[in-house]
Parts: sequence; structure tokens; C-alpha cells
Amino acid sequence: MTNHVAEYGWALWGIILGMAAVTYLNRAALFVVSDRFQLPPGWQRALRFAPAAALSAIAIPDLFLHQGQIDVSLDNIRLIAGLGGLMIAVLTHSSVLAITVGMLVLHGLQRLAG
Amino acid sequence: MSAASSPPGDTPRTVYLAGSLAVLPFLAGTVPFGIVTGIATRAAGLSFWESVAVTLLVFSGTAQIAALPLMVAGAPPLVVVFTAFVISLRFVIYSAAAAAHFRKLSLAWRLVLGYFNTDTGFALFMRKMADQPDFAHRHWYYLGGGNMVALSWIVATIAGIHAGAQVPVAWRLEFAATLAILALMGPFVRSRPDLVAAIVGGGVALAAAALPMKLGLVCGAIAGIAAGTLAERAIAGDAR
Repeated sequence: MTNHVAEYGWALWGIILGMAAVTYLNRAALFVVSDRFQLPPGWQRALRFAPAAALSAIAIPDLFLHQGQIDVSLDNIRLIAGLGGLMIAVLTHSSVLAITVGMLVLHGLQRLAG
Repeated sequence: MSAASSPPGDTPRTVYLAGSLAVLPFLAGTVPFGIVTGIATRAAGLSFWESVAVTLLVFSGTAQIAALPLMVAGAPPLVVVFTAFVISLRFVIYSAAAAAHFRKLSLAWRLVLGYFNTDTGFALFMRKMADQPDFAHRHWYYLGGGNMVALSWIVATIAGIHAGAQVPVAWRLEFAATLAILALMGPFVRSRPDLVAAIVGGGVALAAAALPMKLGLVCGAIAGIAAGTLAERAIAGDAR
């Protein structure tokens, strides 16, 4: 996979400041208006699903797409390594262990393929 | 918030210290994750100072990690910022629960406490409030815990950023960010509606991956939230 980070140039600072602004907004907004406003319970319930939905929307395409196509074959080593890591995360609740195992599987398969 | 209801020895100072100490066991997860985040940020191609700015200003491991594969893929800046927005929406829920305790504080206090609204800090604070509902100087407790979380996060990520520069590209550590996202989903996928939100979010994002400007991700996130909400309603309807 080619890395496109360098192509942002100064726009990367725009991304950093934009991310900082929206995360701070989400953290602080209700504290700031707490004397006047409370979030309706329906909204609170819906927002609970945001992290699961967004994280999965990033990770799933990242694992399943291989050179722009959906690839569920054994050639897609990122998918296998990712599923391995996910299994360890579910079983052990340790993110560090999950990342370590996932990386080891990725490198093992890469060596086998190469 | 009457001081009379807590032990006479409690001062802002002792409460601040108590908060700082009570959070220590929780940091067993923060520190290694911070190191991984720092390494992955450098592995994604950000410079030392860009990486440090991310960790100080964004100060959310989940948002930082989630942004990395998007930046590597060259996603439009607004999509990266939108993603950070959606992922940090959970802080709105935390602050909705904690805000009632801070209503009488000055605006400056509330602005400062806002920065220290974190997963760990929230868990610690709500546990304390459940144990001791009439706890005095509670904002100092929150600040003590929050400062300790921030300090350990920043030190750990900078250590990782420093180490990350020495890691060869052939180690493909940028993939560690994707693995970290999978591992991070754990605490957010506890119920069946959570699982529906994750599956629909990921499935729609994958199906819509051909859309320009990474809009598939935006569609996935919105579809996942809607699906989770509907699933919750359906389950509640069945139970009735």
C-alpha cells in the first residue's frame, strides 16, 4: 500500500487542528452548557452506538479490500492477521496481546507467501 | 455539594491526590496503548512534531489511531475530521452523565474539565460518585484523575513516537493501527444492538468502499448508528 501522508503538505496541520477541535467540542460542550441544557435520553442512547459503528466502518474495509477488490481468499494476509488479532482481543481483552499476535501472523504469512 | 457531608480532613488538595492515586490501576492499559499509538503514528509517516501535536491536541487514542489508516490512504481532510468527530461522540454521553455534578462551577473550570473528559477518567469519576454521592470537592477529584491520565498518555505516546522513528518500514507497523482499532472495539461491543451497529457499520462501509472521498466510511458510520438504535428498539419491543 502506498503511503499518501506526505501529499497533504500543510493540510496535515489542518487535519490535526480540525480533529482537535471536534474532539474537544464533543468532550466539553455539555459541561459548558450544563447550567442550561441536558441531552435528551433518546439522543444519548443513539450516540452509544457511534464508536462501534465508526471503528468497524474503518477496520472492515481495511481488512477485506485487497488491491481495491473484496478478497476473502487466503492471499489476503491482512484479513487473516486481522481476524487472528480480533480473536485474541475477544478471548483475552488485551489490546497489546491482540496487536502483537496480529503482527506476528502478518509477518509469518508474508514470509510463507514470499 | 456541601463540605459538611464529607470527612473533615478533605481539602481540594487531598481530594486531588486521592483522584490521582485512584486512577493508577487503570493506567495499566493506557501506557502500553499510548506507546503503540506513538509508534503507529510515526510508522504512518507523520513527523516527530506532527505526532506530538496530534497527541497533545487531539488527546484521544481511539480517534488518533482511527485517523492513521485514513491519512495513509490519503482520505480528504474533512473525512478524517468527521471520523474523529463520530468516534469522540461517546464523550458527549460521558459529559451528559457527569455534567450535573459540575453545573455550579465557573465557566473556566468547566472548560478545563472538558479537556480531561476521557474513557478512563469518566469510569473512575462515576464509580466514586456511585460510592459516595455527597462527595465534596468532586471537581478536584475529577481533575486529579484526569491530569494523571493525560500525563501518562502524553509521556507514553511521546516515548512511542520517539521509538517509532527507529522502526524499519519492512515491519509494516502501520497495520498495528488497524489491529488496534479491532482491539479497541471490544468495550464498545457489549450488547446485541452494539454488535448490529458494528456489523452494519462495517458492512455498509465495505459495500460503499468504491464511493469517492472515503464517503463509504461516512455512510457506514451513520448506517451503523441507525441500525443499532433500531435493533435496540426491536429487542425492547420483543421483551414487552
